[in-house]
Amino acid sequence: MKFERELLKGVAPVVVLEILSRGKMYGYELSEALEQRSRGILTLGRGTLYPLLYNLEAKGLIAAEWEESKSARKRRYYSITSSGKAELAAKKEQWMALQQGVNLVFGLGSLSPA
Amino acid sequence: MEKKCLSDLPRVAVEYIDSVIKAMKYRRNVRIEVRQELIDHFADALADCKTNDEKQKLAEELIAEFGDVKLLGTLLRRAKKRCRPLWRTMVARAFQLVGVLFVLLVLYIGWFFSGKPVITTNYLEVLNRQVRPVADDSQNAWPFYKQAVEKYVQYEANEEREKFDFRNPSTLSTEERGFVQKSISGNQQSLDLIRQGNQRPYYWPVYDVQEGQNPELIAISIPHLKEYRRLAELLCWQGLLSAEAGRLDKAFQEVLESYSFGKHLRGQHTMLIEQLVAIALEAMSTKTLRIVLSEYGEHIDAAILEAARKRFEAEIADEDFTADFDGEKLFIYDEIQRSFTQSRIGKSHLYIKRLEQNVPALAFGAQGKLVKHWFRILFTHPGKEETLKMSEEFYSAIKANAGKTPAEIKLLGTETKADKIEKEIFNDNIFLGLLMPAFNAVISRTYRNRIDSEATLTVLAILEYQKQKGVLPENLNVLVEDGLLKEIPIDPFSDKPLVYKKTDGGFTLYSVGLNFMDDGGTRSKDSHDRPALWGEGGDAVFWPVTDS
Repeated sequence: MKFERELLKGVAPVVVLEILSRGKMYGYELSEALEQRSRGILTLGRGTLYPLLYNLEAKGLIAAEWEESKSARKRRYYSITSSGKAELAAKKEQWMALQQGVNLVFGLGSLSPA
Repeated sequence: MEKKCLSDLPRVAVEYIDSVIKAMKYRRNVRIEVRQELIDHFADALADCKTNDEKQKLAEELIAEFGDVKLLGTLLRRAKKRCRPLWRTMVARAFQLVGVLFVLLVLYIGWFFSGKPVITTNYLEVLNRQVRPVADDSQNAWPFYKQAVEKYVQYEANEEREKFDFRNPSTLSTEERGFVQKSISGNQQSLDLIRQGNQRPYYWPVYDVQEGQNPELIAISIPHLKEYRRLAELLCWQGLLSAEAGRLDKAFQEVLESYSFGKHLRGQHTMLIEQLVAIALEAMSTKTLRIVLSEYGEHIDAAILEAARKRFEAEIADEDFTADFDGEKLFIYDEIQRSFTQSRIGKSHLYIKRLEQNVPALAFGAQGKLVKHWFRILFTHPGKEETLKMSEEFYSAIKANAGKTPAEIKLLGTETKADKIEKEIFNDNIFLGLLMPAFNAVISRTYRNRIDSEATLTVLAILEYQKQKGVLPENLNVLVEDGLLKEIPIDPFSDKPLVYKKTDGGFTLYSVGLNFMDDGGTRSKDSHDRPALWGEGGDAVFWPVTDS
């Protein structure tokens, strides 16, 4: 499924942070993981992936390091930082609220009792 | 490892990656890192392909997913730029800033050096109008003086001029006397022309520049000043020789011709240099008068003294000794219009080419003092309008100063307005600092000139009184009471009457001089420790006359 570029733009960093919160990965691995976890619904354009990773790195939300992979090749591994985790938690919360709101508008669910 | 990966990748993938990296246009080590990452990505994606065709096909799909080379390169560069540490960003910004400043500086310098002055006023014409009184040409002494200069023959070498210092002719060596006599007889025609010029009621020079030159005041030729001085010297020497020959009436006439000549040269609103020459000629004449009186006084009868006093009195009665800066002002105005660019975008500024050409090399120095002031000249130096305003203020302040005696100015205790402006000018305005003459020194000189003439008249009156009564006057009031003096001269260096004292051998008459203190008639001395009328320390003693 193809998503509107703007729609994906806001989600992509959160999704990348979420995937990296489960373990460090290199670029290709990350794109594959995203596709698998979203069952092919979410795919990051490859042209978007690396600029996105570098931007998250610049913001200090993820860190990158060259390490040897299982195939004995050096890879640039990305891992989430503590500020990345905090950011992820905050974004997740926002996302849940947004999802709930959108669902209500679409008539797909109701507010759960407190 | 990378080599192996590269060899595994289809050519199209390698070319794509290289194009992206090239499009990144960023630091080399970063590009190497990103390239490696992209190669890894492609290698991982194509790892499961079994045939080359499969690899080629998948590689093309991947390339399509990565998208446009330029766009990806730009996105990668931007993202990587954000990754750089703060210090690196600051260094980069600093370099950018320096670069921008450099470009601005180059543009500014281009603008600065492309500016040119615009000449709006012919100040040569203005000056010629200014110096001319309402009179027809036949009343002008200048053509006579001009002719006198043209006919002047100089016999002595420049370095021999000291031989002509005025003194008792009996002290002249045979050779010196020969020089003096030859100079006088060889220049009779010129001396006659001076006398004829003196008969004219006015003197106004017609200023001009040499053929082919721009009509600018800095280029006006006043070459005749040296000859004027020589001719006046000859008149004075003629007077001294006449006195030596016992022709005292003629002696006074000759010396007073020299004085009239000097007085005439002041003209009206002339250039300062001409006024200074006029002052020098008058001082030379009064000194010669006093020498004649001192050396031959005993032989002068009262009638001759009276005639000399009356003529001299009439000569100085209508004389305005005040310095006139109107000619000089025009010179500055002309130089301002030629040394500043016309106001364009921003302000007008100094026109370096003009300064280099016309401000004497000695002002900037061979070592290029101009370079020392480059920052001020380029950025902070006052523009044309400010310089005009500053010179206007200065001239009006200096005019006010010219009306005050040196004693008055000293009494003020603090800096005068002119002093303050002068200081400001020298601090802020290189142009005016270089071109403005030392006005205060000129003003002091005009007051010396005045008291010198008045003191000489007083000496004449005292000697006449002595001839008449057989005794010296008790004080100067007596001379006024007897009608020999209209008023007692006031010393501008004390604002009190000139000091007159009877002594054993005669009398002394002096001004307190440049130190403003009454040193009891002790003569001041020059830098070589020789007695001088207006030297440092001591008094300006007009009488008795020294040997020097």
